[in-house]
Amino acid sequence: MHKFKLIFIIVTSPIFLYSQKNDFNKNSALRPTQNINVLQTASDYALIINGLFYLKRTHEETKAYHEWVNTLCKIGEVYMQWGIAEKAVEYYQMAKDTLPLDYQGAPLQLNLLQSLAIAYKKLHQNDHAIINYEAILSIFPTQLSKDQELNILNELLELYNLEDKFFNALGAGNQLLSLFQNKSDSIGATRTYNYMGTIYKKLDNLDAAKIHFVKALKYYPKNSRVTEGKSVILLNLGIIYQSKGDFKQALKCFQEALSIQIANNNEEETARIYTYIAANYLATRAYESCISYAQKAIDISKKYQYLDILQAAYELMWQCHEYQKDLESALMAFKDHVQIKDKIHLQKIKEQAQMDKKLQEAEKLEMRINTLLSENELKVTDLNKEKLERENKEMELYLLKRELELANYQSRQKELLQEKEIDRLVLLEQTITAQAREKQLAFQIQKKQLENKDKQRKLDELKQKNRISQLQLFHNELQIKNQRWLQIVMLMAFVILAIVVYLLFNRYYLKQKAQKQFLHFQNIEIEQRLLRSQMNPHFIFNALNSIQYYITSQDNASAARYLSKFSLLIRSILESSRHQYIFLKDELKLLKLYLELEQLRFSGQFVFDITIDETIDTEEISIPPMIIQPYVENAIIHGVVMLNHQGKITIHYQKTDDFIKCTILDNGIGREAAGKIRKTNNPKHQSIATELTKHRLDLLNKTPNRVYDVTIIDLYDHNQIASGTEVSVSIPYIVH
Amino acid sequence: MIFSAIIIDDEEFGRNALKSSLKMFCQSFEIIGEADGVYSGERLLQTCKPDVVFLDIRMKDGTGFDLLQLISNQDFSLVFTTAYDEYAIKAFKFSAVDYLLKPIDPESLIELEKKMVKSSHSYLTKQKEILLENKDELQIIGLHTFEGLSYFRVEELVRCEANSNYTSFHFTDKKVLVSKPLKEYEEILPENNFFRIHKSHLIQQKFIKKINKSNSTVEMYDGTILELARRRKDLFIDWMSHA
Repeated sequence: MHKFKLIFIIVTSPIFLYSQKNDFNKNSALRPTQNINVLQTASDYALIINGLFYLKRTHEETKAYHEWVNTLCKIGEVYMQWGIAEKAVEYYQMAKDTLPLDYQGAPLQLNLLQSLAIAYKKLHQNDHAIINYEAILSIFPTQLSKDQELNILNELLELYNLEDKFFNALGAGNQLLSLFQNKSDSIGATRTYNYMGTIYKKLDNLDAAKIHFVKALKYYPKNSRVTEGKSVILLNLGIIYQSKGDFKQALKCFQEALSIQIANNNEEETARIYTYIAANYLATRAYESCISYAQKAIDISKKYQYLDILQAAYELMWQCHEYQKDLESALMAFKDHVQIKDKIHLQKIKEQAQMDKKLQEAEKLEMRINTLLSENELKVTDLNKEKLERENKEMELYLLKRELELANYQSRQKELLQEKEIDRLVLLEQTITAQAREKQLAFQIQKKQLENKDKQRKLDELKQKNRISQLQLFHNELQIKNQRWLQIVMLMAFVILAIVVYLLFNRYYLKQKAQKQFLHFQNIEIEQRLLRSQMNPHFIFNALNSIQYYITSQDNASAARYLSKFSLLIRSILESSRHQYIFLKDELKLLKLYLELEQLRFSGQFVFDITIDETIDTEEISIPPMIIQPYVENAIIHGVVMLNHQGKITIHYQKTDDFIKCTILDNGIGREAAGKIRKTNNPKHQSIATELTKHRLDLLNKTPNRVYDVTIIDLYDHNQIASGTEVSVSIPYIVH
Repeated sequence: MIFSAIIIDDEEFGRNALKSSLKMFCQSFEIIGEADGVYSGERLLQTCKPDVVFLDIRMKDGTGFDLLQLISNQDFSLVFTTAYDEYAIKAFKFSAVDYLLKPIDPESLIELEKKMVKSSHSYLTKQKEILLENKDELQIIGLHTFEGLSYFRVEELVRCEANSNYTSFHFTDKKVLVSKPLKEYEEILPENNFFRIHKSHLIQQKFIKKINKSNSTVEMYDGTILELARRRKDLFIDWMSHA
């Protein structure tokens, strides 16, 4: 709430001042001195100050020095009234500086200097106060009234004393005394004598001090109801007598003072005087009296906790007791003395702590004010910015807004005026800030405006620079991006290319592999078929030739038989060649048919026998067709047919775990003999049956996990003469 | 005119089949003897002098070529008979020797009959020599020119050029025109040495001087520049590297 008010005043006061100058200032500010007396709240002070500020400004503009200085003085006066000596000094000093050197306006200047001196004195800047008082005395040696002169000299006396300028003080005192004597002002003289006495006492001039104190007593008005001062002078005089060793006179003085204080019921002073008396008795070695007086002092002091007096009294007590050799009592008193001393010390520390605390609080307060100020500054800055923006954008809107603010302010102002119960400290804050704000605002607004402009310009420059640098950066970034982009693109392109290549290659490879495999198996299949159908063309044509023979020899029945048998064989071969595997039963049928045809062809030069293991179910097991045909053919053509007698071919099937083992046994001429015959023939013309079969078996071997082989054993009789050939063929089979 | 003939064949069915076929389709051949093998055949030939010998190639104790080598003076016309023997047939064609395929084609018997009339003795002897020379490797090619059958060494054949149904054979020193299509010779000329670079050109590798890939031509040592068919270019280059 306070903060808000503060801000409000700060923000709105300049506006208000400019807009409301005519009515308000005329009413309230033009007679500030009249108004000062009725000032009660901070807002009153603020209003007056604001009004005076307006006046000040006006006079400043019109070069009306007198009015201007007057206004400045009034401002200072208001501040003094307000208790803000610092500000008062500022304005008084401003007024003093504003006055031309040859200014001849006694009352104004006199008042100004006096005000300055008073303000400085209040600020404890005694030397400055002294300078101003001295200035008054030197500038206006004759124009001063007696009262004024007395007043100034009194002030000077005090100030000199405070500043330890004792001789100056004594000079002033003497001037005062002469004035008092002329004026026969006994009270003033008494006071001056007393004062001078204390100064002499400080200067250790006890005789002079004694004379002045005595004179002070002498001039002390008789029958005066105010006896307090007399007591003080008597005490001072007593102390002087005491110091001079005139204890009798001292005691006299003390007792006179004591009677005065007792009469006045001033307990503290009474107690104090008791200690003085006690001390006096101690000095005269009247221990009993000393103790009794000290006790009196103690009794009173204990009651009212006059610690310093207690301390002094106890000190006297233990000294007395010591002198009396009453060490026990002395010790007790000493203890008490020390206790009190400690207590005082503690109190001092406490006081110090309190002081520190107060200082800290003050500092805190200051800090708070500062933060408030800075916050306000920020707000004001924001507002100013807004304002500037608005000005730039919409002047009309701004004006409207200002009017609105004005209206707000007026209502707020009324509220403020009605408020009677506001904490003084807060008020102080508010007004300090308000004033500071006003000044700072005026300054800041200008400064800010300038700064803003400057900033704006700098900002513009910076913006432009920024834009340029941004553009450059953007350009660079773009370039970098482009480069990077290019790199990325290239990299990606490369990666993609690599992937594509890899995929293509992989696909190609797989395809190729698959195709290869496919082709491979197809090849196997095709070759198998080819090989199967290639079943010795020589046999086929020979068979056909035989049939032709039956026809041409007009043996129609034989021709028909032969032809049907042959076509049955061909049909079976064609059919079986369509399958990779045929039932063993069908294979056996085929084999039998073939053998019969060969028997026909070679006119029964051999007989054959086909046997099968009982374990083999010919309708269950399948084998590749006509695998053994070439071996059988070999057995016929190169074996049994060569014999001069009838040969025999025995074919036996047996089953192992993996194969059907087929053994073709012939009692022919043997491979050696057959080989000899073949050798005489063109080697290229010899039978390729075994080669074909081996090739076919090899192909079957190439199908997974199967190995088929052919073993050929040359047989010999007991005379080591070739007696045939035994061929064993391992044939893969399938069980259905 | 009746031609005396013997049949040498190890299979009884084979001999009987030929005999009954001759009896049925061609009565000009009189069978004066039969043999069932190389050695029995040789013995038979010593005892009788037939005009024609029908000789089987594959027999249990040898081949027809073996028998030819055994006899010193051939004064008979030779006709090979075979059920199926690819290589032998090539040799017959190459050497321009007559042959019959079993079962016997009656028309080929009649054709054979016509040829028998023309044949001279010297021709028969030469035929035998050439056949034996070609038995293992095709070296001498018999070509039926307008002047009759002539034999040429294959190693001297530069190229063959097709000319509709005729084929001109360009040897290193001569040129021969044959009334057979190029395709027939392409089939029998050894494929290791000969390549058909064009519809009209069959060339021997060793006579290739230069291959001009840019305008697809092949220059031969005899100076001719032959067109290389674009479709056969790759195959040709491949063949060149393998041959």
